[in-house]
Amino acid sequence: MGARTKHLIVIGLVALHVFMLAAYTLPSAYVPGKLHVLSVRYVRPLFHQQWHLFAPDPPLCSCALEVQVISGEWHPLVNASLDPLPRRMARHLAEYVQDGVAEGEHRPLPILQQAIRSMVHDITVETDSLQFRLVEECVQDPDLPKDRKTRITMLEFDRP
Amino acid sequence: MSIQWSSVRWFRTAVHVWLLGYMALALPDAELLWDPGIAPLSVPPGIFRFVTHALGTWLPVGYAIPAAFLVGVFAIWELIRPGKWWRALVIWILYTSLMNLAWSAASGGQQLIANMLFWSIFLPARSQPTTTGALQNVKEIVGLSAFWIIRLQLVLAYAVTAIHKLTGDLWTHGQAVGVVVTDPSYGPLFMAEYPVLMQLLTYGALIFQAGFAFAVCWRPTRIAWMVIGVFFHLGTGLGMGVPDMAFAFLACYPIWSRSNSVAIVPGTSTFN
Repeated sequence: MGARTKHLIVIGLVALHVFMLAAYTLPSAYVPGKLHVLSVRYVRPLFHQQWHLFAPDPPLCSCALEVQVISGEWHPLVNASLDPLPRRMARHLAEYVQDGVAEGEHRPLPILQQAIRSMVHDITVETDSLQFRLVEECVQDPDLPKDRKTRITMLEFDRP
Repeated sequence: MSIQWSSVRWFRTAVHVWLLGYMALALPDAELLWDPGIAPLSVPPGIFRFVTHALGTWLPVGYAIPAAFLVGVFAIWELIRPGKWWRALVIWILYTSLMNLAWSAASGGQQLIANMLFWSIFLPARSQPTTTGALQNVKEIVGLSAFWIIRLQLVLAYAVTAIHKLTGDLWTHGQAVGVVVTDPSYGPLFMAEYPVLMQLLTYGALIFQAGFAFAVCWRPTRIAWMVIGVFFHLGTGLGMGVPDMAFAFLACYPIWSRSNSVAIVPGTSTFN
């Protein structure tokens, strides 16, 4: 096989792969529906990736979950000094809960409830009767992002 | 269009050092990260789940910590004697399974490394002796394809995130970085005291990410963009608390460290 043929095959393979990745990761408005479905079937099983951190816009409302301990004080779900990975877990859980609250659902899904309860094991072993709340700090004017308004939503949990 | 072997060597080293760093970060929090009670198992359909979700399908989730140690050992082995496809395969399967098990702590950087590790299975570590035959042809095609997919994967990540940002309002109006640094989950808050700097950083990040695909085509711009990239990722990684994401991108930079400018500009490829 000649060098030119080999290079043409390589170009074809690479172009096809990158094209499918682009169809999968670009904003859906730019990708025809059928092509997007095809790209999901190709990319998702082995090459899943998403590139929209802080995009199209960073969230205007921060979110954090807090737990009320026996003394009545509210604590963050994880210690702020913990490693980045547990902090990210707590943030992702808060984002899922925030999505539900935005749709008027104050009772998180059962798997989220289980996950949230499991995360507070280092605060207290008694997790059945704990109260949880979502604390959001929302930007009012993007030109003055420091001026955030705090919004607190009490969450309803099922009895285990 | 040929493989740049020094780029491959540095790239493999950087990715495996990142892996060791990730395991060092993850292992102290192993009980939290890989506890299915916190991140309930989410196994997709299809036969590929047996490789991307080995932990949770055929491998019990209780084996997560030994799997992480094995990844560490194999990564060190790859640093010392690089280039065994079966070792790369084991690393990719176990790393991807660990990442998917801890899906609630996953990030784009971790996904980037998972993709790079997959293509590293097919990427030769050194130049092969020149022989002929069908098998050699296949090896050359697969190796060269893997090399260029790895390169373009990095370019694609920057380009796609820039396009997503250009569809929003806060990035195009210079307000996005100000909103991020005042978010208590990210920070650092003190930067919000300098609104002009926030605006410059917003547009700067956008130009950096949108321009990466063009900058890598020529040596001077490639070097300049990568120097900017080091500061950009160190700043976001350490300042905003996303170190695995930041260092994942930096670990992939060496794949572009050596390049023939002419050969990658469309229409002027030499096919040498």
